[in-house]
Amino acid sequence: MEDLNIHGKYTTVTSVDPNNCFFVAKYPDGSIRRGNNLFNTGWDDIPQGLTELSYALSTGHVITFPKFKAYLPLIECSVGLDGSRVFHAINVKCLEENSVVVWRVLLKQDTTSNMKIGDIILGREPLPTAMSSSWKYTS
Amino acid sequence: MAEPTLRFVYNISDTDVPFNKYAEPDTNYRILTPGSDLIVFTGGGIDDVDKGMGSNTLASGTRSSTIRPSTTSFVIPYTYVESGATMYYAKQTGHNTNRYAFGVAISGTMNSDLYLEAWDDSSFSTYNLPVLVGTANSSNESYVNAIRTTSASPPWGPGWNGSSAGAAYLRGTSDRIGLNNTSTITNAEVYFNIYIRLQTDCSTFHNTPVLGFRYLYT
Repeated sequence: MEDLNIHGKYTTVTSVDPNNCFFVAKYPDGSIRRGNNLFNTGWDDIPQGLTELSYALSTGHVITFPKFKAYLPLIECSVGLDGSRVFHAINVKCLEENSVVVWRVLLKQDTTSNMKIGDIILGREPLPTAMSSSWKYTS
Repeated sequence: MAEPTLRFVYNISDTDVPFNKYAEPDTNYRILTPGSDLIVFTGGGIDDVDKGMGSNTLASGTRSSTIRPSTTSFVIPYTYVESGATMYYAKQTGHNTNRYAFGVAISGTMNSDLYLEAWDDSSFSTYNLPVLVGTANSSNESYVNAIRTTSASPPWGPGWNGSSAGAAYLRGTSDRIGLNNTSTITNAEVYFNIYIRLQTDCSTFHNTPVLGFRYLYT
């Protein structure tokens, strides 16, 4: 279910319900760890060694990522001084041998763009100089 | 990690000093509450004196309309924050070398810089308001000048603008400032200064753009 409509001066934005978007991590023993929401994701609490990563959005979209060496999902959010808050995207950084592939999963859509909720924009970054403990490695 | 917590503060004192989160309430600062408080750029009109512009506090709703400049560009001289029944003079804010005008106290960790942006409204999608579009005399740049002052005071001689290092003519994501100039931030305070410069070819307008703060977290 889509939760949020923002009627701007020049566009209308539809956004996901941040309370009902979460990751799903699968492990070799068949167990599954589910995230909480976009406010308190729970990502740092899950163990290493996952075999598959997916994201379930409140709109019903389920995005399953190909297997990489490690993942780091980053929530992109804006807070406005008018009291507003918008979740723009989940930027899932995926570690390869020589670079990082970024899967940018859109969490909002508006009438000025053809991009929709759940659309994915792929990018690539150089390897980070340091790996934070938030990276989760696959088994 | 959970989403980091942001607290917005502004300096109402006569001194250019940082926010002291360990001695709250810091009497030099007030907390800006998103959604209820409003930053107001005003003054430069014929009734500045009558309206009491420059006073530490004014009654909520007080405005002195800026006269559209006729010969040269003009910086809107007063920045207040309207909070409840009172407007508080943000004295350190403006086209000056003051470092501690507005601040954001961050609790938790961001996996990015904290970016200050300006948009038409809370859709965070468009920037078509006249104050953000600018005019030919502003080289079609936004009239909103903002600069990162977390690590240093704004440069002078003859004064900083959106082209200065660490500054931008705020508009969307392409013209924004990173307030810490780092790739991560943990439990820190960041600062910026901001002003609006009107041009002689501007229209007469009353705009209410939204200042937004964008960041990443796990």
